[in-house]
Amino acid sequence: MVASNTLLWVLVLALTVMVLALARQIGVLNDRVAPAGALTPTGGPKIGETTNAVQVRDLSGTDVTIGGEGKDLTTLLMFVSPTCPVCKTLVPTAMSLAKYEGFHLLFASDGDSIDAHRSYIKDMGIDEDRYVLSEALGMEYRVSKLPFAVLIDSDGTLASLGLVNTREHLESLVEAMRTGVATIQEYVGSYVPEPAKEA
Amino acid sequence: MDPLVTAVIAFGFAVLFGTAAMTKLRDFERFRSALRNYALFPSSLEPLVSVMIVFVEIVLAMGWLLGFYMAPTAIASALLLGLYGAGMATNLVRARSYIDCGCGRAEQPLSWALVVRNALYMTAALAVLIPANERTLGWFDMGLATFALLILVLMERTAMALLANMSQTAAWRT
Repeated sequence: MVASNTLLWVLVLALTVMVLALARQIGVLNDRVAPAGALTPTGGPKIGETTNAVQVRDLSGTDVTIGGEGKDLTTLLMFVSPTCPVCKTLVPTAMSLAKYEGFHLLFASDGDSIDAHRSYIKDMGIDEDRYVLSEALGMEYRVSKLPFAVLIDSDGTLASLGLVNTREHLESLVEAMRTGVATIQEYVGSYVPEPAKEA
Repeated sequence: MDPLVTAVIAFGFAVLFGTAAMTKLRDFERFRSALRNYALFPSSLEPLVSVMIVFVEIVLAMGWLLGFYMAPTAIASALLLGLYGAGMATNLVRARSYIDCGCGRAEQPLSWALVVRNALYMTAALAVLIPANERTLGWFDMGLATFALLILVLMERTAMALLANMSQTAAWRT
């Protein structure tokens, strides 16, 4: 009796461990197969058009102009919030990507108290002059969900923008700027197959 | 009710509150910002409330472990879990589901599943108030309790992993 009972308990325990391992593996799989491009909003400024200059103030108190003509660096604008869990994981990613690509990186946010933003940038290791607070900026690019990234080319044209959740999404924005094709849908739409050769 | 069930519940809650307090202490700043994001009380009270929550959780873990004041411990635990549930429900109604629930090692958005989880925990805590029958626990019972506890802990982790998967795929449907 005791032996069979113990055996059952051991088997149930082993099964539970396996179920946990499976659940974890599904999580890893989900991570791998996540949608591979940034989600671009349909409204708002068009890709390829010159962006409007927006005056904002960073946390160190300096006025900065975002967008408009006459910038010599490509600007990566990341919309984040201290209350958004995904943003936290994407801040270091955006930093490393901007460093690698040589982009001018700016973080934008609004709402919450100034103290919340200050403790947030301290936690994330963001410089004061790289963090701007502006509601107008979010309205300009129709930011509805965070984290949201906007890539402005060195000549001031809007290169790409969209909701980003992973490094792949961010890289898809860079890719969209390089190739000049905004989305995979646009690419497929413009693809004209070569006429089949007659045998 | 069989004293074995009571023992499993008691040790289970000792583990639950113990790990909860440890996780909060290990990254106290993260816990504080999670608490702030719940936006349930003036931010001036936040330093006091954050310390109090950790303190209460440690006291409850000790209470369950030692088992001297089972009834008050059970009622206090149910109250605390109810408060957490109410806090989460409030923010879900406010449509602030994007904030970190602060309920595990990894960050996770709020969901009604977490509120249901808390309700289940409350039921389990209050179940020890049902009078136990007189039966002394032998070594075999202790073995059973250990296995049951291990399985419960693993099942809780599995449920949380599945919940994390759910919120992960939910983010795709924007």
